[in-house]
Amino acid sequence: MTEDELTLVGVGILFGVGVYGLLLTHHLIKIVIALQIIGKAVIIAFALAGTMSERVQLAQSLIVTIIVADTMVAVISLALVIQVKQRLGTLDARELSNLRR
Amino acid sequence: MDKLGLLLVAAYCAIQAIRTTNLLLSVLWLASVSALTTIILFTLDAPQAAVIEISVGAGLVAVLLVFAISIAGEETLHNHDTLWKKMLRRFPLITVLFLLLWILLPLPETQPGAKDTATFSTILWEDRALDVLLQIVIIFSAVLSLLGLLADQKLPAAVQHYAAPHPLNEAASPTEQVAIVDDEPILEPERELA
Repeated sequence: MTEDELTLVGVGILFGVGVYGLLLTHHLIKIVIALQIIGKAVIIAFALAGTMSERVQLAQSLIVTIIVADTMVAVISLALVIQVKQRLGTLDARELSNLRR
Repeated sequence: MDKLGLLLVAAYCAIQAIRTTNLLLSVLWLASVSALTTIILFTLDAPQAAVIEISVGAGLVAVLLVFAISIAGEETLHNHDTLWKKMLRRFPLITVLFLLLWILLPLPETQPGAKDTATFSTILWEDRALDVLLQIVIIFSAVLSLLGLLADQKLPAAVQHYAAPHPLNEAASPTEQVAIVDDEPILEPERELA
């Protein structure tokens, strides 16, 4: 395996850890943290793709877009988390459902 | 090889960020993932993106998370140990399968194609000007929705009914509470529907 492929394996592991956290945790703030981890894995994947195709500048401009979108998702999610905590008094995603099981 | 090492350290920090019960420690682990991401971006010849990542990822997002934790409070959730154990048992298997798949299916050869001739700023401000405009729109809409969400607004009547405690249950002592309930039996809306 080349060094680029090994790096891509590492990116896959980091992405997997993010998805693992997203599936596993019920804490609303931890869900935002897991989303951030996934975003960082995607950023590194884009930079690696830019290096491999020798178009690093284009990759950098795409990374800037990803960082902006990811940060805005975090901002809105945290505002929603604060609202949920103030209105319902919990940070557990399982207790948010009003449907009867 | 050094990039793989950095990525493995970042993955360890990410696991710690998800597993630790202390939320502030979790934010610090996430900031360290961001710092390691910055170093990896530098080694991949993307310094401008790296600088934005360290300032936004480790700076702004960490501050926002600490702000949210200080408002919402540190609430630790319990009773999901069984799910933890179930997932932990399967996680190594999934990782090994993923790595095997990766080795069996090698990457396609990348075509050299058209190389970058323009600088970062030319690509960002001229070639992708529409994207920059959309990013500005996204930032403005996020700020507006943030102001709307954090504003101290009056709840709609239906939400207020479920969110706020019932006024009759806010009696000073348990005896008073019982007396009020005895005088006038309260039917819960769900029971009426049923």
